[in-house]
Amino acid sequence: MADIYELLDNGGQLLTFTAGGEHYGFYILSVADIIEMPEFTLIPTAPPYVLGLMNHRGKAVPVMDLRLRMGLPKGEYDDRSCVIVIEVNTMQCGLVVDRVSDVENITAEMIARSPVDNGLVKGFVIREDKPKISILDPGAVART
Amino acid sequence: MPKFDESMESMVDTFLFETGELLENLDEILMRAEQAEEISMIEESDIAEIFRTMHTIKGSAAMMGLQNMSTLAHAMEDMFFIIREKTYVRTDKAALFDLLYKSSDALKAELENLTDEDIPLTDFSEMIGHIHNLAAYFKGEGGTAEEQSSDIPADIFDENEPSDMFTYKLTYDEACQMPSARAIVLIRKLGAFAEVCRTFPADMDDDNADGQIKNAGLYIKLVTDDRNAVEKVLSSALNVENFELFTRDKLKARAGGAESKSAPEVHIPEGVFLPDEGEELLTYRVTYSESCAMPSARAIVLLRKLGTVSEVCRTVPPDMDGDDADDAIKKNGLYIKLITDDTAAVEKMLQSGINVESADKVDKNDLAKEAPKAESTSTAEVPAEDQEEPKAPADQSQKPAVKAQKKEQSMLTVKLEKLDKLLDLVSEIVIAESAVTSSPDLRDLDTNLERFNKSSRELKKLTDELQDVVMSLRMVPVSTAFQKMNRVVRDMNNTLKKNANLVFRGEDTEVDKSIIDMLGDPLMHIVRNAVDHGIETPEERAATGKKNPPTVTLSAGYESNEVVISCKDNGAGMDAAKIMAKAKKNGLLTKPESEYTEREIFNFVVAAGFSTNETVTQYSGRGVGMDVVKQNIEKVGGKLTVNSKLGKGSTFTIRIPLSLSIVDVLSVEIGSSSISIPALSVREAFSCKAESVITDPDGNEFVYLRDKCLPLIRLGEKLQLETDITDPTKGICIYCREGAFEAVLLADRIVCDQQVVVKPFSPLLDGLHLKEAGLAGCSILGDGSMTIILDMFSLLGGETGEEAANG
Repeated sequence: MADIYELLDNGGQLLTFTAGGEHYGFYILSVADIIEMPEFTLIPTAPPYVLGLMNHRGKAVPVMDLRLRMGLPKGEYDDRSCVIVIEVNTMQCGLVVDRVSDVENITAEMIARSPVDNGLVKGFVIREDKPKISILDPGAVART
Repeated sequence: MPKFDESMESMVDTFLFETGELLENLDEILMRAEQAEEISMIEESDIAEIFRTMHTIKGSAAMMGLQNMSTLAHAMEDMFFIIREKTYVRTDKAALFDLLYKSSDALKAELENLTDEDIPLTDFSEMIGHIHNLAAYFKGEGGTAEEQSSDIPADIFDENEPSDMFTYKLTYDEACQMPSARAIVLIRKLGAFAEVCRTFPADMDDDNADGQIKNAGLYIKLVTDDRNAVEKVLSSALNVENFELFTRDKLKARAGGAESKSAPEVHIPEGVFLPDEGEELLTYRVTYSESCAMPSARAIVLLRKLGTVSEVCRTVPPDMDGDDADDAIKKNGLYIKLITDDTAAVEKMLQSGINVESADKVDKNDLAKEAPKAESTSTAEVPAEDQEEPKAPADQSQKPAVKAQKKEQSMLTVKLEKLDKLLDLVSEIVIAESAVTSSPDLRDLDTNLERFNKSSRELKKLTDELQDVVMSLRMVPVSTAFQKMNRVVRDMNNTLKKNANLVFRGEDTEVDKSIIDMLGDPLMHIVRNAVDHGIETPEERAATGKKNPPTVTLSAGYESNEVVISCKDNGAGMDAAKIMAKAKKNGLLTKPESEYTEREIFNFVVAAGFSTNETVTQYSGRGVGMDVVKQNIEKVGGKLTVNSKLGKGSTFTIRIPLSLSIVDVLSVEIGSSSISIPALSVREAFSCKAESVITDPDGNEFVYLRDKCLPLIRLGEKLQLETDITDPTKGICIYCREGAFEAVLLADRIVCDQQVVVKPFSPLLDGLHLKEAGLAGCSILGDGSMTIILDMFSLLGGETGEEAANG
């Protein structure tokens, strides 16, 4: 399991993607897989951002809509929508994103840490001429 | 350097396993025996059991060449010999059990370190000394005459001491607490009439002096002109029971007596040579060195080795397992009768045997010479020839070598991974079987499937049975985990003086082995916590007017698809306000204070970095324990909840899903979702008529079914699933019962009944409280699709039901 603070302290590779027009990034070591949109099994009584369970290699892995998780309005999925499977404490969770953009090398100096300790976003990468990237804390995002 | 004989390498695992089990077992018996008020009141069967256990450990350790463990076990065995034969004159229960537990722990620790060659063998001599001292204490300080004589200091008579030196031997009476102090006074008094040259023990200030005087007596060597005056002083000395003039001759007489006992003349016991023996039968006499603790164990090894080069016909003594085998071998030596082609190899092997002092060939002719002597010895230990089949049923104390062989026949130790693999495969076979026999393809076939159906029924029967057998392989009663807590509570009672009782409920509940293994640590933390933090001190209890004895109750049972294990104490309980304040201080709040329910507040106790006890004790208080416990339980998909009532006590409940278990379910459809109801709770499925549906003025809906009015739960509504069927008469009604709760569930249609492997929801979804919403987990079906499995207990009983159950 990769610790998000490893990235914040030492820098590293960031998997960047977009959801609802916003740019986000996960520390690459916490990403287990990127897959096409699977079939979901609805979890009754679950809030809308939990899309359901998918059968990922024989395991029932919960899938969430990142847009809804981030409090953004619901949008349509298209053929470039995909699921990023992240791993938190050996537990997996799928997140539907609009599209995966890139893997970028980020140094610790480029990261502006978020002053909020227990939020979903742990820091930002702000550069000129490029959109702002919010670095997500996989543990916080995956935990309901 | 390896710690044990090389030839024993292959036996190490068996030794570790068996001795470990014996020690676990020993703890249990000790716990039971400790309940007795007096040592004389301990059940005889328990004493016998402990004695036997120590005897076996002594034997196996000796066989492995682990002298230290063997001697320690031997000391404990001696101790229990005294208790068994009731030869003690006084007892000290607390000291005895303290020592026993310490020894048992020491042996356990030694076992754990055994395979690590970097850790040297532990020297138990100090502990053995303690045991011997206690044994001496039990027997009374005087001991018997023989024992005294055996303890005479070897150098009491110096070779060149003057002939006018007198040696007096004094014995003090039992009531004398510190004979050494008396001795100092006495020696000073004697100084007036005589010159005291030496004493035994030499140094009265030595800590051991008292013990030595009690055991062996006090020897005073002096030169005097006035013997009468000296003897008068001696006779009038305080607490002196008697004194005697000790001479060289007396010593010799005693030493000689002892000698003739320990090293008898070589004589051949009866039964070594039988009249009708063939000439080719060779006889060897093997003697073992004095230091060899258990020659019979060595003999077993030796005989096994000999088996490779010769045919061992019989031995004298015939039965190495007999209690008297050791004595017989020490006394007469071991006679081995064998037939061989390779005499040289046999002799070489005999000579190289461990601890073998001598190994000689014996001829029949020797017997004639020895005959008169043989007769003169008592025949008690001498095996008669008709005892060749030695397994007398009364002889229960078996030596490990034979025991191991027997065990191999009825028991098999298997690696857990293999069992897991088997279980996985069987689960998949069961699923595959239902996928084949209920394949949708078959539905479209027009042909007659009579034979197919017959075979598939047969197959189902077999797979069901296979599954039951495999599941039972891994099932262990929780009592194995519970029993260990006895010890924890006992130790804590000793240090914390809380006199807590430990009570078990439902310890027969069988759960998967992996759950037992996982439970060990969490249970220990929880029980420690209950005794340390929960139970008050006797004074506190008296102050609050609590009359009931302080009790910690461990209970186990099944609920739906879960094993529920709870630890309940009737101690002080927890103060929600205090916990809230502390949680706030430690920054554990994640929502406004007012939104927390009491239940949520109590569960802060198991959050990371939380400890209510201000003082850190030996057992708990650092606040690291409980959150680790919680994590461990969550790793296997379990849950830890806390409930408490201030002044009444607290309950910690562990719920672990029978995660690998396969359950029969009835799968239904609601809208497009597949939902499965555990078949155990399903009583009946029926179509409901419009007139059976009753609505009361409050809007509650009931279904009237055969004199019963049952609440109606529309699954679609309850589970927030979209469906077109809201009219009970259009869908299918399923009458379910779980525990005391009953209801009629409304679904769109029944799909099938099938067997599924229940997978708990990912712990990441904990925040959704799916369980409380009536969902137990999900299952992946043969075709890769998934179904959601209902938790009938919370669906039918709801939160209120759980509340009531937790009391």
